[in-house]
Amino acid sequence: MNVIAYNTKLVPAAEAPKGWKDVLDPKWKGKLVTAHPGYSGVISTHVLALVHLHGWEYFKQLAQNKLMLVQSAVDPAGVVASGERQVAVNGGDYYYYQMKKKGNPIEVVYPKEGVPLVVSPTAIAGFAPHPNAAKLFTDFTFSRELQQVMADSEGLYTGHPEVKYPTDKPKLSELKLLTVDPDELEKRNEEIKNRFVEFFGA
Amino acid sequence: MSFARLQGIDRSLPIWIASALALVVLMALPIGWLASLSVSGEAGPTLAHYRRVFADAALQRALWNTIVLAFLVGLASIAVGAPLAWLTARTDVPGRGLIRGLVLASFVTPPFLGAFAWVMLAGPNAGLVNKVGRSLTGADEALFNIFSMSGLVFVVTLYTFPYVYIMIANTLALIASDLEEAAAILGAGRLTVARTVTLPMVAPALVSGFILSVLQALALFGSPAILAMPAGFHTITTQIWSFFHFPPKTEMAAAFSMPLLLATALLLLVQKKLLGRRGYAAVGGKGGQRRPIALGPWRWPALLAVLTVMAFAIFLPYGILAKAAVSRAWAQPLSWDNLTLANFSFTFFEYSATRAAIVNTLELGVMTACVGAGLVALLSYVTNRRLVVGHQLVAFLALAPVVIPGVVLAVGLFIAYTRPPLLLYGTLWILFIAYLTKEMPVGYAQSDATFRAIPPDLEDAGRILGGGRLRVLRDITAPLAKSGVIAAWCCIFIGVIRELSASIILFTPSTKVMSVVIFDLKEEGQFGAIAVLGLVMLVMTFATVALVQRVLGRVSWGRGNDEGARRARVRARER
Repeated sequence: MNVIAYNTKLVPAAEAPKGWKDVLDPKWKGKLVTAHPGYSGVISTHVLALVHLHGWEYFKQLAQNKLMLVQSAVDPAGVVASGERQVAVNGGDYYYYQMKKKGNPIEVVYPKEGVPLVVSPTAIAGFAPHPNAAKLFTDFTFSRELQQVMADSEGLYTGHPEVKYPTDKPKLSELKLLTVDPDELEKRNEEIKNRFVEFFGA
Repeated sequence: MSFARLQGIDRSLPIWIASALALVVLMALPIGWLASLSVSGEAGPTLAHYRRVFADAALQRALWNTIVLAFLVGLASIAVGAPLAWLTARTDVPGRGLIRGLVLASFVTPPFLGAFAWVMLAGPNAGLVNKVGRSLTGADEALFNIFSMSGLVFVVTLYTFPYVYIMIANTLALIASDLEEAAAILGAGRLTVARTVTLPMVAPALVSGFILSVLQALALFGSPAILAMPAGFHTITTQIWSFFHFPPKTEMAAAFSMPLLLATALLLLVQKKLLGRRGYAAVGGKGGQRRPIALGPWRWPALLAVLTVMAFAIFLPYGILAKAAVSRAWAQPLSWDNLTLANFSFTFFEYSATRAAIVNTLELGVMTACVGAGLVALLSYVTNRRLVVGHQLVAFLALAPVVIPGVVLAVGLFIAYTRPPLLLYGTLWILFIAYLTKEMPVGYAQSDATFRAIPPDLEDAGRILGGGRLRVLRDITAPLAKSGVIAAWCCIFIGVIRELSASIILFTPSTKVMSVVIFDLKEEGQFGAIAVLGLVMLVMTFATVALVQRVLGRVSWGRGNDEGARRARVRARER
């Protein structure tokens, strides 16, 4: 899911943004980084979810803060960890969590207004040479043990009800999840990219 | 010569024809597909893609940015490269050998590594230079923001000025001092001599150097991707790359490739026209004396200025890469707490893509270099000995890929080889073809110089004594050409292992190469691992450079006495 993250050495917890609109404050000018919907499905999901929440006006205002643009959803983590920018306005929570566990000065913020959820589906190709092996493997990946591994070593939230999460992460039930309709996302993909480029330059 | 031509038709003829044909296929297929796809619509030929490309405001900006970048890099490269060349070729500045070595180092440094290093040096907030600047001045503003057009021009120039340097240094080394001294004796001051004698004689080299630098800047992908995109602007190359992200717009990429292709072709044509006018008779022999100009009290300030440039191009970037390679956090000072070998173990053992990529890179490097060096040796032999009808065309085709920027070539190859009969996309072969095509001109130029310096009379003697062409080739030509062919091999190898702009479009998960992995690591913010892999790449490069210098026996770099000329002189003395 997409979250806000900040560098704990540069931003005291009290001053860190709590919600999506907090990063519109001009005090963050030149201090923010964003990933790009043109290169990442996770981020185009994020953009659409926030457009539903706050409208395109949100991104238009955000662009006034002169953000650094990076590509993938894991890209902003390194930028924030190094201190090149203080706050990331999106990016995958699991990767921030991994970076934090490695000792980087990163803290994750799950905004109360809701966090855009990005589902990672699994599929078996219709012409798979070993379809039954693929089915077995898929069953295996959805077993409790493996989903627990995903939660522990990758920092992901999973759909499995019995998975236990690290205590330093919010419970899934405490989070308000924002979902987008995949069909709408597919239809509006081009619009999302173009408007983003229009606001942010590239 | 005429004798050789009479004997031209023998068993070896098919080889020549085959290699000429290979060239047509390597070049004609991708470019043909590129052109045809750029005008293909669902209902027959259309100009719709071009209209869309040129009407789009964002794409217009990318086009404009590219022009600005290329022009400024051209000017800046002249401003840096020309004085440097003059200093080493014409004055008694101390450490001329060292300077030449450092310019060579900058020449072979992959530009994208320089760009990564400068992110760590001059990122507005975390960059070392800006941190030091802040602590000195107490100001909140950054001294220098590398994520900007000026930052991009700065970094690209650091690794492009050697093109100007070579052109000027070689020319200056050929111009005898007599003309300048004659002018001085006739009462001209130093500036007047420089303006009325020296400058006009190096003018063609200046223009060539400018054009070569502009071409470099036009074709570059890595540096704009690293420095321009974060600042919110594209160049043509990064824009073409972004067309390949989901959902891919290959037709748009093809249409947007055309201006780049045309601009490159046009610039090379201008350069050829300028150099073709041989009104510069003084440049052409090595008869006269060249007496170095005494700089007097300016010797050490001049050296200091040169070393400052080199600090920007080499010392600082290499230093920060080395530091990042052994640091836990690259933006933190190098203390005991921060010191680690974890980046090495992460790069080589934990990050799954690395080892396969190193193997792929080496495989492709060796394979392309072997096939390429063999091919250019054959081709330059064919053209120098005028063995086939239309040998001028062969020479033209061998040099023609120069006009195709790597990104454009990749788009063409992608279109050509993602469909039957040759489904090469997803294999190493498509990268092999890309590299072979891209490195052909460099290899050919090197090889051509080699064969030019081997006069045909030795071969003719062998033929008169009854040897077949292949036997003469083996016993006479091959031993003479050996070191030149090895040099061509090394040039191609160095070019392949650093290649990014074509690879970034043609790779698939199982065919990643080192440059692509470095670029991937950027997306994860793993600067430590980037530094480690970058250093590996530099070690490979410099080992190859050392090999060339060993084989050729000296640095044929910026002294105007390349191997060919040396041999020609040796032979002239022997006669």
